[in-house]
Amino acid sequence: MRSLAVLLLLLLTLAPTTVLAGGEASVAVEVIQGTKGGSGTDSKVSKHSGTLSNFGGFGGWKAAGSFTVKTALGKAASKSVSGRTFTATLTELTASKAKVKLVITDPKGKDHAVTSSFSKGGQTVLTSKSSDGSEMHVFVVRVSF
Amino acid sequence: MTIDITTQERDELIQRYYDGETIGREVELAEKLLQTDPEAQALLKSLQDISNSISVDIAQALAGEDFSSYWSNIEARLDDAPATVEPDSDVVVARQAAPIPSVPWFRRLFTPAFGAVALAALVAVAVIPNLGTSPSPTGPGPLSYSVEIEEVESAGPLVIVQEATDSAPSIVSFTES
Repeated sequence: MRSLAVLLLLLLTLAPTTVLAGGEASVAVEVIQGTKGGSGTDSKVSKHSGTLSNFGGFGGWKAAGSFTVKTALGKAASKSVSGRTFTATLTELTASKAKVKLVITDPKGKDHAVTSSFSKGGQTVLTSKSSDGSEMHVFVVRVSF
Repeated sequence: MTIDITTQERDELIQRYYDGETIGREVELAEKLLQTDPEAQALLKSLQDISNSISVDIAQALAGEDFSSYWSNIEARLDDAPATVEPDSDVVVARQAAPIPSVPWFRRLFTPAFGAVALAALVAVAVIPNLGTSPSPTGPGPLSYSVEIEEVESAGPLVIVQEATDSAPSIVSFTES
């Protein structure tokens, strides 16, 4: 019984935090572009109207592109769209969580990054407003693993 | 010196003296009695005679015994049957249980029950990672807004973080430099 208890305790302790060697995450991105003072929402992005309603003063929402990158542990995967570069790097992976660093590199080469832990199918939104405030790019990100 | 003592007290004193159980000044008193009282002397002598008559030369007695089959005879009489209650009696006949052999704890691991648990654990460890890394053939699975933002870095002048709710995803807004 003692050995059984030790085994179960070991499994319960290690299982949720075990890093899965060789795993990868799939990062699907939809990029939506809007302009200051614009109006309307393109039908292709209308499913995100709830999210887009958060950005008052901007409108004319339209799809700027969509792509999927696959990132392995410690390996960055990038894609450029509308003058910005989107980079995803899987930094940690367990059975239930994937920690991913997402970076948007703006036209001036400056990085804007967020590191988040995603559950399966986790979704987050990044926005990048141009320095002059005339336009905004919305990155709707979904992580699968 | 006259000793004022009853016959019963005298006999009990001599008895204790013979047994070596006298206390205090009783030894002195008993020895004075034995010097002056013939009845006390007779009592002590009778006690010594009785003792000598039942004394046995133990060494001589043991030399005549055969102990070679002593333990085997005991073992032959032992029964592994459990304790029983004799009919119409309150007497419990307890028999000594066979001793449990001492087995190291790690040797107890090699049992069918442990094997089954270990196999289940190995299957779980092998399957869970595959579940996590194999993409679903039907799509990415259900949507989840459960995202924990751990770190935000920006070269821009302003960052706004809006936490997720049950119905809306988290939003991190950057302003480009």
